Amino acid sequence: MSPSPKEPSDDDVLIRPFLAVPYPTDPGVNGTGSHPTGHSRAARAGAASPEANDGLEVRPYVMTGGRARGGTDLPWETLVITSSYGRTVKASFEIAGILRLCEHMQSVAEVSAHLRIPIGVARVLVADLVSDGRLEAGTPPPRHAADDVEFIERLMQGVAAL
Amino acid sequence: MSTMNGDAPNGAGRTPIPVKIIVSGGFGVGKTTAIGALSEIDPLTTEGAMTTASVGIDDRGQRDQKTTTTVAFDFGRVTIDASIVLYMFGTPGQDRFGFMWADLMDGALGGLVLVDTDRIGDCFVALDYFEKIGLPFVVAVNQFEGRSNLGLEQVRESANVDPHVPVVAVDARDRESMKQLVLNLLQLLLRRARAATAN
Ligand SMILES: Nc1nc2c(ncn2[C@@H]2O[C@H](COP(=O)(O)OP(=O)(O)O)[C@@H](O)[C@H]2O)c(=O)[nH]1
Ligand SMILES: [Mg+2]
Repeated sequence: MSPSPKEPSDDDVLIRPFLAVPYPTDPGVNGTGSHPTGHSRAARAGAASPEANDGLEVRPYVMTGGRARGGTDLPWETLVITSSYGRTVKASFEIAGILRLCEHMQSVAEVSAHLRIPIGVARVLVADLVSDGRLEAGTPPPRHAADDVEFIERLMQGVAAL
Repeated sequence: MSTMNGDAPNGAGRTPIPVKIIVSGGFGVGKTTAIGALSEIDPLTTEGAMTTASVGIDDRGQRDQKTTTTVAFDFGRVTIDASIVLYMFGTPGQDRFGFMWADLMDGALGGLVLVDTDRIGDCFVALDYFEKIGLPFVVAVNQFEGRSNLGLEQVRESANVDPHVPVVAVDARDRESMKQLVLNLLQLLLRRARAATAN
């Protein structure tokens, strides 16, 4: 796309300058990041990093046991449900809250919102609970669904029928 | 790691495929309203904490002062059918939250950039960002029942977007209008996907 300079229009409509407004910076990324999936790996778990948690954020940091990231970087929309093991085994107060909430399938974002846990912390906790079997993860969010003609057609049918 | 599908006998009880779209635009433009119009749940809010470290020595002689800012993302959920659930995430319009944006955008299908013609410049950060990461998007001009005072062509000129980017009028409060907007985005994705397959 070329930033063809435009004449001021009759009624002086504000014209967006070509990248004159700096796009949001992304401190964790070293590459150029021309695709969304290229962006976030290195920038993950910022909310849960020990340095990120002064003052008000101390409790969530303790909840994650002091680790900056879980074994898995779960996308916000990842769906989880409490396993039968998770329903019976004893858990700490915070974990019990997650396991109770997820008796009905929830996304990681919903866990964060309903239990007021910062999203970065929720992702670490949920990933841990999936790896120890107390939560079961659903179908992983597809990385390239927008390129899948059949999938988009299905989605369109579904939206049209809402 | 156990999965729901893995535990189900005969492949029964498949869990839905979760996908998401991003709703962006300036403060007060109607993002939460738009999400709520389509969502089957009242919009929820998830918060992220972000730390900025100011490097150097401040006037009390302390080094590496850190400030923690919280940033809130509103979102809603739409069950499309038994096999797909669509999440709509609203991003705050300020560019200083780019750190969390990048994290959220991963895997997003596309974006909706809401515009209030009284403050059209407020959407520029979102436009720049979506263009930069290559996220397909539709520009949606919230009409505020007629208060909107620019035509769609003027908005297109102001937004300075590629000709293939749809610029449409919406009522963020109206469910049918939001359905149509999401369909506009999906049509754009379909055209792109078909073009890519044809090559
Ligand atoms: N009258 C009118 N009010 C609207 C419309 N869209 C949004 N609003 C109101 O504008 C305010 C800001 O909307 P909100 O969705 O919270 O904006 P956000 O900051 O982008 O999430 C709220 O009070 C909405 O009810 C509209 O089309 N017409
Ligand atoms: Mg809002």
